[in-house]
Amino acid sequence: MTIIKVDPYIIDALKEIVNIGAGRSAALLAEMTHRRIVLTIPDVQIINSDELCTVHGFDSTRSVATVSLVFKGVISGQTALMIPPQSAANLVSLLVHEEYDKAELDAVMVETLKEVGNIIVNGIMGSISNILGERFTYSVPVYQQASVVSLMAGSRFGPCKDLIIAHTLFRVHEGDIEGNILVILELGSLDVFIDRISEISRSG
Amino acid sequence: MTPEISYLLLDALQHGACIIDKEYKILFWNACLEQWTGISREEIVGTKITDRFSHLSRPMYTARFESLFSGGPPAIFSSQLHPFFLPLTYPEGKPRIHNTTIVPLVDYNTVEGQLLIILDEVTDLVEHVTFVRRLRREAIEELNLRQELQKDLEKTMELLSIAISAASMGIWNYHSKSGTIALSKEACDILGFEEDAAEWTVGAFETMVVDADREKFSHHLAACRERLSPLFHLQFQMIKKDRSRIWVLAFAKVIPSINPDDPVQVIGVLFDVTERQMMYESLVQTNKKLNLLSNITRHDIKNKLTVILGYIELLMETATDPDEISYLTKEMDAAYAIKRQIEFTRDYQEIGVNAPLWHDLASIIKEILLQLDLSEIKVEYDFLPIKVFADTLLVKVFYNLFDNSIRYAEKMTRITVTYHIEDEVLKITVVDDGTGIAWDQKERIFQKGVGKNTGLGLFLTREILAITGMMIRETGDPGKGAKFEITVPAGMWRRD
Repeated sequence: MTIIKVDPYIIDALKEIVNIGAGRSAALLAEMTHRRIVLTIPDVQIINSDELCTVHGFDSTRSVATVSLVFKGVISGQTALMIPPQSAANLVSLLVHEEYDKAELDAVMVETLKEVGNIIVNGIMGSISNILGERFTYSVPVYQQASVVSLMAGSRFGPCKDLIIAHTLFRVHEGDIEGNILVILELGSLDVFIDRISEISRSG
Repeated sequence: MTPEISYLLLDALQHGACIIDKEYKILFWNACLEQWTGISREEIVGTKITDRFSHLSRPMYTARFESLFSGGPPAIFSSQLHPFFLPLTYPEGKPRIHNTTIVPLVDYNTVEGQLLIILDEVTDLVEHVTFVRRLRREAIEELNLRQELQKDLEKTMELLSIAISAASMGIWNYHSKSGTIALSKEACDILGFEEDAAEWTVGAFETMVVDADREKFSHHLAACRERLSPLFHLQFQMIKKDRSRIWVLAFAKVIPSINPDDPVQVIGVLFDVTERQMMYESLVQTNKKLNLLSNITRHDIKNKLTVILGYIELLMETATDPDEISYLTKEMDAAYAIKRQIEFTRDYQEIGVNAPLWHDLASIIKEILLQLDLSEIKVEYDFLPIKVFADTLLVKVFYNLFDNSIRYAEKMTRITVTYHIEDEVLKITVVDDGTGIAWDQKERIFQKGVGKNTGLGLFLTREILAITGMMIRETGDPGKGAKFEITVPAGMWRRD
């Protein structure tokens, strides 16, 4: 197993942080769309970018619908919601109560997905910001069809960086949609993040 | 950059832009928003955006505003989930659909913060996407429909193919442009060829038609080619590959074309009717023998009747007893009735014996007018050159109808014969202005033995017509006159 060795309690803490953010986002989305929405993060992994290809069930070269924003602060990086195009179209369809007979997202659906991604990513970042007690500066969220590899290549980071991969499960109405939330961290940020979480845990 | 310069820049934008503070108070309202909302900067600056637009005070908005005020990431409000973040309209009142992005203008070292709200109009885009979605949906529906139709067509073709095969029926197709006749596998089978399909020039095909029928075949094909006839219907003899002879019956139809200069295509079916033809010829021989026997028998009966009538008349001359005279009168009536029936059977003994022919309706009416005494009755008919394919006794049909009118219709002054066409079916009506037929007699009059004379006239009329698929019924109003309607199926009539 090539996944970075991190104490299990850190992984548990991360899972909790992400789930809190996801829960808030789901509540907001449910209110907006008048749909019953459950957003769960059953699994969180921390890996190094060099080890992307070794993660089971995760295709880092596959181009998918991606909403991402860059953040800077005590830790810096990029947070993205990544969903396969057909699943993204289904998600939008379920949220806006409309049947779409296409596998691709059109310009209007992209805007909707961008808002959904924005709410989820904001929820996660809000949760991270709260737990660290730090503020960040953010870019405006952007939509692109991208793979994890191309997303990382397009960023301004160097080759050595770490990723938090949160497998995400949407349950909207009666439909299940799977995707991933990725937090790509700049060199050194993961250590800061883990240290801060450890400190918080120790301080109780 | 001073706020004044920032505002100047925001005023230059083709997007709506406004700035609010943590109290939701509007600090800036750009020129574009003034135009889109009709609310001037002077009027709105200093008021709370949640007061001016109360829907923005709902938690689903305030939660996101609060997150932004506390340093959260920029927020996006899409046109599909929030088509009218602010009530923007065109001058004529049509709503402007827009995406909204809210960016915090926060100084992280202070508690105070401001939000820049940017509205990007996407009305055209949304309308275009909606239009494309509709087109796509319609195209998919059309495609699905076509696929369904294709499946139905394939199924029908399969059933048709089975039916054609089961019926031992060949398909033939004449194309005037190439001057060829193509035959299906079944048609090839009929002619003794083993090919799955074959094509001949008309000339080569005609060499397979026996000499006696070749001219007739060419004439029929030419009539179709020149669009003089919409149908090809001919029975003729052909020479098979093994040089044996067969009788074939060919039905075909000229494919309709809007442009008269288009090449003509004739497509139809071909049957091997050799066995049927042999049976027919055998039946003709049998009928001839029966007719001969019938003629001899009728001749003998008539001779004997003449003798009986002669003796009755002699007895009548000498009889004086009223009872005796009464008995002799009844005997004479009975003998004359037998004579009429014998003569009637002579008239109708040829029903179905000879092959049906094309009859010119106008000529038939003219012939009847010469035979019947219609001095007191006006006969009206206006036949264009219409021909019907019927038994050789068709003239008897119209004779009977006219004769019935004369015989039974009291105070009749007029007989009118007309026709009209419904869905390629010819309908001929013979109408008089006599007393008509009672409701309970309309079908009975076509039964054998019903009527005041022999009781066979209308019965045989229906039989003669039925030989080539024609039907007759009486549809007049009792008291207003009789109306006989003859139905001629498609293919059994033509214009000449």
